[in-house]
Amino acid sequence: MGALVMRARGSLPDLAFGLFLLALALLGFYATRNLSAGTASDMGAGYVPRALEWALLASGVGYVVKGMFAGFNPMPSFAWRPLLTILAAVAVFALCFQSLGLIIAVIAAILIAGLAQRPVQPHVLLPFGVAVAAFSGLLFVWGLGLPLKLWPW
Amino acid sequence: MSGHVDLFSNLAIGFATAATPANLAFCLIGVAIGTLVGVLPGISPLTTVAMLLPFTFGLPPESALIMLSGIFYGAQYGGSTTAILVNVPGETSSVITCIDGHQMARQGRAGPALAIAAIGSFFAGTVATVAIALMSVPLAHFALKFTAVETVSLIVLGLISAVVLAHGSAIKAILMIIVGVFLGLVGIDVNSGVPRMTFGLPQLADGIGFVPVALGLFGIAEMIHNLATPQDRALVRTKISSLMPSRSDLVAAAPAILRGTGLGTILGVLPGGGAALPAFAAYALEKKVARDPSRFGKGAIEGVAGPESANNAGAQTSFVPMLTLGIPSNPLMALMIGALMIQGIQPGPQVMTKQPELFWGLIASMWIGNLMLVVINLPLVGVWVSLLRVPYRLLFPAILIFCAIGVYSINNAPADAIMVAVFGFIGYWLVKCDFEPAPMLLGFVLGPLMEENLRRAMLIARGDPTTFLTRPISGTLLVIALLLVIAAVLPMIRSKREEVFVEGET
Repeated sequence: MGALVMRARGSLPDLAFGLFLLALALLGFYATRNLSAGTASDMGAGYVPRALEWALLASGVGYVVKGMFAGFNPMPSFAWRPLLTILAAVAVFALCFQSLGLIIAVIAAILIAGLAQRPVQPHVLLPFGVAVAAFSGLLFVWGLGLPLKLWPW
Repeated sequence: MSGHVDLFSNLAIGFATAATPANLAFCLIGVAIGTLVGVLPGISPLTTVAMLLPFTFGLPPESALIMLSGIFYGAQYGGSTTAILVNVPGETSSVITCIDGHQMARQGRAGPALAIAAIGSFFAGTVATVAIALMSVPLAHFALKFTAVETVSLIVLGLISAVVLAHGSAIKAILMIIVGVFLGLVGIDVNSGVPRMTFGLPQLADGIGFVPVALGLFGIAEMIHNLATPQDRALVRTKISSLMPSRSDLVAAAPAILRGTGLGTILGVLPGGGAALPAFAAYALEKKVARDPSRFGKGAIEGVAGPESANNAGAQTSFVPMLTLGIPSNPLMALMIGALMIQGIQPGPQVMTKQPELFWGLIASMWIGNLMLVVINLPLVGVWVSLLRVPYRLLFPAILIFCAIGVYSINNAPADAIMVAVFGFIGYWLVKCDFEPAPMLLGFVLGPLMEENLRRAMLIARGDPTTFLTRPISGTLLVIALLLVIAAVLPMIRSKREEVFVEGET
């Protein structure tokens, strides 16, 4: 047990943030590799991005170092269930919309979002989804006249 | 004396714009939605504005802004209702109203508490409207002389002060700004027409949409947080017998309303201002000037009157930097800037001269909106409270759907909705790890503007960066920014700043 405590070092949130900054910087360096930086008096498209990439890289390294050597600080526990269901609901909505239309996309997204909380109540969610779908169709397509596809056909 | 004539003719233009039937209707819709959002805990005005923004693209710019602004200041009214009756803040800015407002409700004095909150808010709203009208003209005229050099320094100052006045670590906040600016640069470079960091994706050619970013960072993250921490909403079962405050209530509340209004008006203008800081500061002030501070926390009416006036005044005057300088002082104002840009209006001091109807119409609508709020709040308080019975379990999927439809309808692109999910994850993760996403949004909105002006300024100065320091206005702005950074890092001042926030959280 004592050995475990000894080994548990580092601040994981800082480490994760540092890695995030590093990833952004490296992605940026890669994406802007062909852009000309120009000079300070005549900046090219790549000047400011590259300056920011260096700043991100430096602070990323800083946070990684801090994260590794700081006292132990665990990652806060994520609420995975709501997190994943909400993100999945948005993604499913986005992917269903174009092919299946508003009505089905809304109902599908509501059913998935409903999984975020226990107990899951399909007998409430399904009629609620149908109601929201009907309401959105009326409001957005009929009322506001948005050019959205309602049905798969 | 021509200044006065100008003020009246300007306000006349404003009222002529704001009082058209269509704009009155948009104002009413805005404040009604604002009240709704304010009453319901867990839905912020920020999310609501971001959610409704796509649907305003087809409206004339003044109607869009009138409605979206109504949501923000309307929410400050609604937030107090929940705070007083349920002891749950409808908005962050009404956290402080819970303390004494709910105690008053428990003593059977919910009516007077609600009435004082409304009266104070209306008074503050009226004063703030006049203050905006008076402050804007000189500020905008001053800023009209700005060249690219001053604009860069102003943006730096705006971003820095937002950091200093925000919660938490200044270093983290500055990093969040840099991340925001960096993400803001994605898309086609306006100067050279070259796509930058788009990875060849046509969806990124116009840059990352700011509506998906704002909705993801704040709306989705907020939703996940709410689902993870369920709240119970215990209504006070006492009947609201009389709304009329007694004479002694009024005598006690009047000076507090005056102080709160003054404090809120000033603090709201500061970058980083908004509605929350003024409310906290006003409560601290009331406690300090009270003859018997021990009454606070036990139903002191000043503890409701001061903060409620302050948050409403602050909410309104926080429009000043956005309207006159084009610098958003908080994330919500960043959304307003975005709304202007989507309407094809370049935010900045020229809005006042080029779009007087928009500028003065918005200001006039704030006063009209405040009047509407008193009317729809006090008599209908029972209706609003009954909305609290709608369970969050059903509320959040509906909000999620409206967000998704709104984002989708901007470009009819699934990519935008996917972006919401990506930034939703980032937003939740950042908040969990104590990194605030608000500065990131400010950087994101201001980044492209800053780069454009920086490039122009350096071109004019032939690559000599000292120009930012040697030009007097620019130099002054940067020195102020530097002083603010020093202030934020000095431990003594920092602990004082934390104190103001902690006051509200205990």
